[in-house]
Amino acid sequence: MNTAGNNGYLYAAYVVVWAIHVFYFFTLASRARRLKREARELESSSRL
Amino acid sequence: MKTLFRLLLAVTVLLLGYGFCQAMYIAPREATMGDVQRIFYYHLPSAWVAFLLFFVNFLASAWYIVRRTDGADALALASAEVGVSFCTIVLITGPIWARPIWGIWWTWDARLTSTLVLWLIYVSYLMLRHYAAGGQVPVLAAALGIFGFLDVPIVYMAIRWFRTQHPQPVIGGGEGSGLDHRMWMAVLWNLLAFSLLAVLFVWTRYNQALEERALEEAHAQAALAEEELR
Amino acid sequence: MSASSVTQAPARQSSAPAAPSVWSIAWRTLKKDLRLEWRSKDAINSMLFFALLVVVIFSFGFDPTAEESRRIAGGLLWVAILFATVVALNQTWTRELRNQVLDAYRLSPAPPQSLFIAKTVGNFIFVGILEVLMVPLFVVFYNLRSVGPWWQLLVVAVLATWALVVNGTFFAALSIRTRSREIMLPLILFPISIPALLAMVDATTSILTGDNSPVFWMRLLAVYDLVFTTISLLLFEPVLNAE
Repeated sequence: MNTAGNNGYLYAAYVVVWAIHVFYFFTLASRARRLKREARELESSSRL
Repeated sequence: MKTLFRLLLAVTVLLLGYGFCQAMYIAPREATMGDVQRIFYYHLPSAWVAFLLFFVNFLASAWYIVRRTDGADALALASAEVGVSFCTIVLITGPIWARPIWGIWWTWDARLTSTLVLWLIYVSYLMLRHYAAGGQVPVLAAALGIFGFLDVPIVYMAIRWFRTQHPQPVIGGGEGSGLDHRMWMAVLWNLLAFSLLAVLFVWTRYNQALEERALEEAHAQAALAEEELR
Repeated sequence: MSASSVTQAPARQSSAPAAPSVWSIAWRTLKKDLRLEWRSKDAINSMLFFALLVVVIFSFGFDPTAEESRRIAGGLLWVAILFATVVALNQTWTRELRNQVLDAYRLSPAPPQSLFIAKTVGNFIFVGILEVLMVPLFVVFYNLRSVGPWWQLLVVAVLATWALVVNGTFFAALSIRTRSREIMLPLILFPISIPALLAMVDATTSILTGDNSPVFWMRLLAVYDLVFTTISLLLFEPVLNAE
């Protein structure tokens, strides 16, 4: 079996795995930012 | 708590790097499949972690039905979300491996199909959480979580029987065909690294879920206070 | 009129020392649902017409010979019934939302399980009527003739209909609490029902073609029915009272 030509599949799979993990990380990060902003807004509005 | 989180983060990053080296360089080349077989070192640990997370979701859902604690609901949400993310990885890396080895992207094989059905069930769980409104979400979601998990063995039995009646696709190699010791090491290191990554994700999402709940309550309190001032 | 028959239960309880059993309340709720349906025929009519449309549209999609149709008819029949069932299930609980009947039921001391049993049996009867009317249509449209023993089809039909209806009634109670509730029901019902659907389709096909034994599939359906009937009865109370 000619296996040398198949390495593209290997790299593609690894890229996909990391892309999904990074994507999930960014959804977490953006939610954290949103929560922080909302908490700040709530605090400032309650002080008024 | 924060220092523990940072420590865990550092260990996870190191382990992910080490697992990558193990999978790419240290584990020997598979004789018949060549380097493509290395996909397996990410595929199998992801699958195990995903199944484990769905089990955690089931336990948290049952706990919520019995005890009604916010923490159980937050854990159920976090584990389902991270589980779907890992399950997506399994479903994408599987076909990428199958294409050069079997010559086809997808086959309606028992394990593939069960994983797909599992993925569908937990995506529907997340949809329900997204579309339901207000304080009843946790109960409805917990009920669906329990239903979904009880469905898993039935799905597996049904699909295995369904497939054994039909011509089997040619399955070469795969697990169970006597893995080399160093190959097992690569699997185990990556399993450890991915589990820790999942713990970090679930931990973060869990805190965020609790924070979201607290914010909602604070908003309601603020609205009430405003009402009273008027 | 539905409100009055539900609120009767606590009134009776206060006058008579012995509380009515789960079954008698279920029976009364079922009678009320059947009478309502008999007068309006909302669920049955929409279900029947919808199933008819699906059958006609399917027959445009395929042009099968008698041998082929025997192999695909099981799948077509059950998919048509599944879609039609969703139409009926969506109306199960929305009917109780009008005039806050569901809230009245929640406040009453009647056990929630009896409400669930009544609704499930009601849907079972509606879908059963649909099947009785649909099967002759299928036989005519697809020139069907069963090779295996036809009475097995009856057993499969009962088990399969219960499988669809018990989960469907439960999930309909879940989905009425969501935004866009009509869309939500199939989204959560179909993934869970995949093994049941696989079992009913394959059991029907094996009986029609006579190639394989349907016994495994019948057993699987029975297990599915048992597991999900139990868990629905256990979980219906928290879901009904979810606030």
